[in-house]
Amino acid sequence: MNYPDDFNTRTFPAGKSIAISRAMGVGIVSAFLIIVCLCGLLIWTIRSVRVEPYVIATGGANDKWRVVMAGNGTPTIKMTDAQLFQQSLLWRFTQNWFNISPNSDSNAAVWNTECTRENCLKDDTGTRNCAIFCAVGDELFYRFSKDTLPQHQLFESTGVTRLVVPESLRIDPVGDVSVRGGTWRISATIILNGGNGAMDIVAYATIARNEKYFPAARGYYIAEFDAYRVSQ
Amino acid sequence: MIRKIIMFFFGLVLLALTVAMLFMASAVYDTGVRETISPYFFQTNELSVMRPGAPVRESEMGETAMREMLIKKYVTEYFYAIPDPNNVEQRTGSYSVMVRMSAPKVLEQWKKGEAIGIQSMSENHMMRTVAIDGEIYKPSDSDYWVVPYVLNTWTKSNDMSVEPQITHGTLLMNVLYEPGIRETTLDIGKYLKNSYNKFGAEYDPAIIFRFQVLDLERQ
Repeated sequence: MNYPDDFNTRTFPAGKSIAISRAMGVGIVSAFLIIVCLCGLLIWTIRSVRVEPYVIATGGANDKWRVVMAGNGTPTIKMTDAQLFQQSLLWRFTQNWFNISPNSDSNAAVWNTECTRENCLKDDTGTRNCAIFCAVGDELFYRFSKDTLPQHQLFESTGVTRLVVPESLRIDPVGDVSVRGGTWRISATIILNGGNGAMDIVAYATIARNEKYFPAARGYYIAEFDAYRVSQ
Repeated sequence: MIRKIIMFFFGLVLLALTVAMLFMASAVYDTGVRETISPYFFQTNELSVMRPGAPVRESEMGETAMREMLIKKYVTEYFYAIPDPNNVEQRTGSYSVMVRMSAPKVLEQWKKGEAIGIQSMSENHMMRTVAIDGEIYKPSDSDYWVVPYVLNTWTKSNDMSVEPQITHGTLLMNVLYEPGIRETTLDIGKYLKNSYNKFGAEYDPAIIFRFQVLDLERQ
């Protein structure tokens, strides 16, 4: 090269390929960084949770708060077969426990203390024979016979009648309810003497399961039942 | 030689940049697990005296109403008893109201005192309900909220002639409350998506609020 006489310098022969390599290098690094960022954003999008509305019902029994709706879904409560079965068992049992009919034969059948577990296998739904015995465990039936039945018989002998209003029955779970059973809270209104009075009651029932002795109710039976009069 | 050294440092810079971007992506990932929850309140119980009638936001209810609801909730949880021997155990679980809404000292005090009494009542088929018995207020010269309450105790079950025993009392509560949702390690979003509406299987939503009882005295 004869500078400054000769301005026509030769092009650096490797210049083009170096420039391409550099451009590609910068491009690859940029693409790599963008992909890393996008991965982060993707994870962020997947894991983000925005819950609105989030509806909380308050003021239940013992001021129990409960989520009734989260997100944009329809408010629903999912119940399993086990829960439905337990609830239905309690719906019938609560009426059998409290009702005092003017028909003494019907009362005697429901309160029958001469039952055996074999009686519970027969289809006596029509007569409701042994209805209390077949729904409860031995210990609770002993308490029923000793404490509650004498009161019922005294009321019956003095002409008192009691009727649980089926529409007033409310049966809610307390804590977890599983296939093995659970604890439930029951509230109801009882009409006395054909409408000449009423009282509200609250009861807690513990349901347990023993498929051998209680096959008719898929093994579910009431192990504990404690009721209280909360108003006159 | 110099060129090789420059290339080496350039490689180092590139590595450092990559690490920095990974760090940033991780930070974004952490941000991603933070959940935004917008609670509304809807009171369905007929006995409720504070029924708003339609779902309302926490911010619309106001700080005072929210604090009172949470105090009422806590006082109920502190005293109520039902004839279920497993109830006290459930009330001391890791997601329970007593554990999440009490300072450790208050929780210990409850476990050693009231909880033993509640357990004994549960085993003896007794029931106790709780109601707030007047205005909840804080005297200007005190850090403690004055909470009057009334307890109705049924000492015998399955006897419809039994009247409840009525006990009046007052709690003095030093309460920490700030509006908003607690930043918590609970995976509330996952719970809400999957199991909030499963009948019976739930934790109490009261625990997600920024509320804690720091000290408590009975009068």
